[in-house]
Amino acid sequence: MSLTPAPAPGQRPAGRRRAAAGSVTFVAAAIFAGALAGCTPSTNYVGSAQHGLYFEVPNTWRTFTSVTLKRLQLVNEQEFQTAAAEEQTYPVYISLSSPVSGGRFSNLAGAYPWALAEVHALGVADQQTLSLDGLEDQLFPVDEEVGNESELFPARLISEGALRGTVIGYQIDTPTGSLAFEQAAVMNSATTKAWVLSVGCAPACFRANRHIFDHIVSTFTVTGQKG
Amino acid sequence: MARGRLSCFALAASVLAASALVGACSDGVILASDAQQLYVRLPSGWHVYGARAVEAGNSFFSAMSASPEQYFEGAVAGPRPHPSAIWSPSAYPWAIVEAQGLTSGQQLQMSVEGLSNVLIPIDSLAEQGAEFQQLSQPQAMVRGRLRGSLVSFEYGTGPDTAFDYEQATWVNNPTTKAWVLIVGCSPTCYQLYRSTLGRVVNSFYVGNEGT
Repeated sequence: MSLTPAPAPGQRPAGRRRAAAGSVTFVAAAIFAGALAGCTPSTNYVGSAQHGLYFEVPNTWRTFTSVTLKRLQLVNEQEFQTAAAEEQTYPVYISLSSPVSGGRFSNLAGAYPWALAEVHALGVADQQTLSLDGLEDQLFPVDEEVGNESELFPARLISEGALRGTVIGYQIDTPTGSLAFEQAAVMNSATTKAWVLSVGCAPACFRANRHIFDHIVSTFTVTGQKG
Repeated sequence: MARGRLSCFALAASVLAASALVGACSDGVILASDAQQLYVRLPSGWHVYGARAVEAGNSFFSAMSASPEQYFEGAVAGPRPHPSAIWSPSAYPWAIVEAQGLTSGQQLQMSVEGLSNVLIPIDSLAEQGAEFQQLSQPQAMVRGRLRGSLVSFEYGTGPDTAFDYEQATWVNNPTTKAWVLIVGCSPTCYQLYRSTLGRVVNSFYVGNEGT
């Protein structure tokens, strides 16, 4: 079906006109596609307005559902409820993104890069005792010597507004595997809430994706500074 | 000459009148430092001592020599005040106010709980056998980019050696600087002057969000 109108007097024959129209359409389409490509963001925002954080990941990455998070044992609602009832620290937000589908993502020390963000409601004990050093252990217990830990770069301190925190990078080697990660973490003045973004994978993967990881961490933004 | 004497008399009279007026309006002694951005209001009659006077006259603080960057002042109430009364079971209240830079180690390790160790290392003293008994539940405080704690302890044992104190500590957001106020005296005095000491602690102010 054509929506081309009947030719008006003095107009070029239909065949040539169609060809010319085709050329114009092609050029227009090409220009439109080019413009569209220019407008298409190469990154997607991940985060939560409710919990006041966001960061960018490449637009080829997917953010997993709670099914994958539960399979990877990152979410255990029963545990979180118990921790909340006992006024201990527990996550109120978790997101995991990676270039592969949730079904193919097996573990954090695998060959696929990932970005893991968590917001923690800090328990009564942590409110009293949590230091910048302690903040480093919120996702991975780097101070507890679970394996052989090596620093990938010197820790950097963050002090922005009412937030304080650290950016760290570690490689942890255990008998079951190795994990390299970079992590930015901040807490509020009242020490009631912590926001953590960690990116990583197996050491070889980490080295290959370092520029992507650095970009993701550089976009880490926390707006929820209240308790 | 007579006019000159009259002028001198008039001047002296005005100065006296002004002093009396200031005295009448004065609500106490202000202990403040613009450079350190801190402020404390003490009741009138308290005698204020600088860091050197405290170090010279107080055996506890002579062992803790203040660094040049450290701001330190003490104050003592009573009819015969002396710096030795600070950090002792004195019959009249005393106060210490301090501002200090934190080391990079302290910056990384500092927690709300750790703030009670900033001026007096109570955990180390406790490990050495000193007895600290908590008088009330520690309170966490937040004001702008400052966070802090309010604690009170009884230090030592026995009627002649124990004394009670309350400590307010603030730290800035980068955890590079801390401000401390401690007020205390013997347990009997502490009960007697509870409201006065409370007002002193409430007046403790660190300005400009400690930046």
